[in-house]
Amino acid sequence: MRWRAAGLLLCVAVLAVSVLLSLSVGNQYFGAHDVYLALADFSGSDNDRVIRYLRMPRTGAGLLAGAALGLAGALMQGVTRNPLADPGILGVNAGAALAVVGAIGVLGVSSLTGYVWFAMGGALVATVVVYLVGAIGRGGATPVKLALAGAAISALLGSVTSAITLLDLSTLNEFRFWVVGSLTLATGSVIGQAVPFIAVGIVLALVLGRSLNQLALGDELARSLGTRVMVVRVAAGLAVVVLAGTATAIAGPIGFLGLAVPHVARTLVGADYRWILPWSMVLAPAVLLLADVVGRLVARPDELQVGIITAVIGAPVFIALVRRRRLAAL
Amino acid sequence: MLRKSVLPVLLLGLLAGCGTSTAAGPPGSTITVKNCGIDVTVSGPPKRVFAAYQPAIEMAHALGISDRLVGTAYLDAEVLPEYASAQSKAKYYKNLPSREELLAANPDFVLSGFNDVFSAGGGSDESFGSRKSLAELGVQTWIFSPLCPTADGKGDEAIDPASVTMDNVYADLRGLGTLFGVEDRAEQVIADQEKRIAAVEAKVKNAPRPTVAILRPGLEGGALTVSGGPDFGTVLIKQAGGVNAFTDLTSKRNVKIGVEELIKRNPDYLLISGCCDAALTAASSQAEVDKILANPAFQNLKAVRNKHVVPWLFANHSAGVRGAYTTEDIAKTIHPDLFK
Amino acid sequence: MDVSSLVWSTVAVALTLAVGALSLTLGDYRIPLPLVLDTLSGQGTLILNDIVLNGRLPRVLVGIGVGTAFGVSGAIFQRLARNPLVSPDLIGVNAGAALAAVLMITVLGSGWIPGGALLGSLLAATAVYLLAYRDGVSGYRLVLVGIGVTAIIGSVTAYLLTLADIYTAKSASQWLAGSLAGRSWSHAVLIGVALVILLPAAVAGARQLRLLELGDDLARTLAGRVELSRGLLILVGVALAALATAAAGPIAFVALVAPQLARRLVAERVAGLLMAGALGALLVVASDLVARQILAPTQLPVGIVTAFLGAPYLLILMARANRIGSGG
Repeated sequence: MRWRAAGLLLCVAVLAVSVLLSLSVGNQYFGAHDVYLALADFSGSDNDRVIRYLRMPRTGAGLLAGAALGLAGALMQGVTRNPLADPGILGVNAGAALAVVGAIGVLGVSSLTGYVWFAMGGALVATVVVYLVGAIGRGGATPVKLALAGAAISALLGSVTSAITLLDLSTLNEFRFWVVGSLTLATGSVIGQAVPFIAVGIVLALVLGRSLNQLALGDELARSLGTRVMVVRVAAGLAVVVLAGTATAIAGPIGFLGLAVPHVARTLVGADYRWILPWSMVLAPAVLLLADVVGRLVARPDELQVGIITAVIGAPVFIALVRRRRLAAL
Repeated sequence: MLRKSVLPVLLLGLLAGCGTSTAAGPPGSTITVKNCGIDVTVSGPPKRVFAAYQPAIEMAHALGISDRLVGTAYLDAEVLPEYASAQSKAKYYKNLPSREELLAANPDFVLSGFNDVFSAGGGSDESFGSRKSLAELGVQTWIFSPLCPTADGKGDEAIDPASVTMDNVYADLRGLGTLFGVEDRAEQVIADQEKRIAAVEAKVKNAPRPTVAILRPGLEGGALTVSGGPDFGTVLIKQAGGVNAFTDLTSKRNVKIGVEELIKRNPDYLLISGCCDAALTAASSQAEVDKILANPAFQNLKAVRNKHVVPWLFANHSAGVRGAYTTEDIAKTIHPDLFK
Repeated sequence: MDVSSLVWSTVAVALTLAVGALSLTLGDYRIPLPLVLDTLSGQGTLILNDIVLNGRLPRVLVGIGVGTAFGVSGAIFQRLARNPLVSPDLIGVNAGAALAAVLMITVLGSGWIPGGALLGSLLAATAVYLLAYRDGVSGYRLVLVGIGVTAIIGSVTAYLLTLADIYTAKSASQWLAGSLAGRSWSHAVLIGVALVILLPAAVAGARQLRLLELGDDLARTLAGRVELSRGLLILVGVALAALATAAAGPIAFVALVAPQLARRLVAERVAGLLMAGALGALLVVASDLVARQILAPTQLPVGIVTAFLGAPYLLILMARANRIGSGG
């Protein structure tokens, strides 16, 4: 108990360091003092503006999207008892992406503010469809069935998405930048709007920790312990949709973060969701911000979008899981 | 109004002039001109011309062969005012036609302002096929020399930066003048371009050289696309008495950069190059300009402080007969005192 | 081959040929049927020869070829994994081909795309196979590793698209959707040669595997040979999908849908393999005709049409497969 709390504090410290790095590292390097001055005593100089209006919003986006994706991944893994659950693999991102393309291409929505609701709606529909298809039949929603259903539905949604983008050049132009996943998509005001959604999602997720532990024992046992299984499932599903949908709306579809981080957390704190959830919530944004910092440095004067970095470091974790674990392990 | 009614008359006069001066050689003789390493041979002035992309369409009008156009496709913006009337009479395809659709127009000559239409690689619906394959059907082709790919069938990524010059535009005008039997008209156009550009160059000779960036509209995933060294914009900005702020980025014509890079370079002028609709004008990019002016991250940019963010056109920095117009246009923007 | 198989495959081939013939007469350049026939018999003008013999004919042939290849490849994988959702698209073949093709279109701006795409898909498939190998290769591990590798490759592909200018990005996207536009005789020869070599191999492999599996006791003693046949069949399946993707891009859902339809028409498995090929060909050729005509003169890539046809079917299929318990 005590070491887990201490560990969590350590995670918070790591997160603080990554926030500082995200504010100070980039095209130009600023020391901690510069960063402090830009935030506390804004003078309007070039440096202050870069820190305040470019690096702060992307750091904010990283914090929110990271926390949301870490929690969403942990929730999905808990509620489906599926080690492979991730918003990217289970089709949630593809649903959000199609909805966003539809919004840009068909309805002419052009502000990011407008995307949020579409992204969440798309995420919701895709989640429900994937889960329903995956849950039919013997054994319920097994990891393999869900992963296959997710891949198949992602492919399906991807085809529709590409049809829309191919017919309209300007939609293709907007979409191709969005789909990679980046922390520089959202402006400060959009990030502000996302805060309440993420906050609700976080509260909902953290409250569910104990119920998820009981769910891990199997539906029967959980029921006998007094857990209302269906209520927990629906609440967790709602939290996933809000968290993953909002994260996708502010940063585009970022894959594998929600998969990898909860596994790391589980390895460190054991199978207790009361700890896995907060650890994931703190570790995921730290990883995301550090990945973003790396992306700023490797391709100058261009930047490598963070979605590429997370895929390149996250997908091997997925492959390692597939190789090592018995898939029914959760 | 006045201009609208006078222009067609002027153009008609020009066309009539061309008609009489077109001296067809003795029967059976052929003319051959080399273009991007390929021999273009005609046995008489081509009569059915298909022009693809803005620069080709405008050059066809400038050469006075508007009445020979069987089709024009894919404008990036409104044509220059002096060609508006001629263009309104030409058949226009909003999207590039497929090879079949092109052949259905029965052209004997395809003039392209961009090399991708002859690119065999992409297997795109909008490729006309390689130039060789069209020549076999009796359809001669021409790519603007500043955009010569390294081999037939290759596209935009295979352009030699050294060929991106105004001299190559003149070479095209001469070559096409010869093929179409409008040499005199071609020489007139060249003389006019040279005179206008020389006039600008003389005026800005001793003026300081501000830095200018050509920017594609929109923060594309938080990144920006600017014209790098090999882009024709570099030549035009230089002629107008400025320096492309991104001349040193020579890997591609269009270079993607992070926003912080723009702030670091802090150019004196930002030209926002809107694109790709036949009805587009420079003013169409005003919304994008306003966004940049209002972005708090950009408030210290010299261009933003001095309101030197200009709505502009992608069409302006394509190599072609816009060269003189664009040179004047940029010069007026960056040296307002010299062009009152 | 029993009577019903024979009847159904005759119907499928006849329909494919009919649709193919119709495709020869339709297009942006109007050519009346008699002229098309004249052209086919060698009496066309230069332009008619170009349009019919060098444009529409190889396009139809490539369509038939890649449809057959995708269909057979899909049937092989569904047979081996005993799961209707397992398709060659999921094991990295498409992703590898896509990355290579986009790299060639956007960065290198040159080269023969089928060659690069083939190399890319084989590299990706090999990587997936090696990563999934652990005392043999289970069908599921193969697919799940494939999903992971596909994700990494896909993100790099998406990044390359952001570097290109918009026209180049568009032609790359078109390739990514799966398209028969601009396909020439070189593509037709590529896929034709592939089928001549790989189809007999697929049939022989499937027949041998079936014989081996028939006798349980015998098969146990021949476990090594079963593994070997499975490995060879996987190789043939990957090669078919890779070559088809190289020729026409990743045309969605053909490999998933064609074998399923075939199974409903033909019970016998080896015949089902060929039936899947015939139906794949029909699906692709018919979809391409629709893709060319539905928004003419704007043309859609054929992959968009197959996706719209295949997607609803896939959903039903997934639901049904899971209900009867064969979904994993």
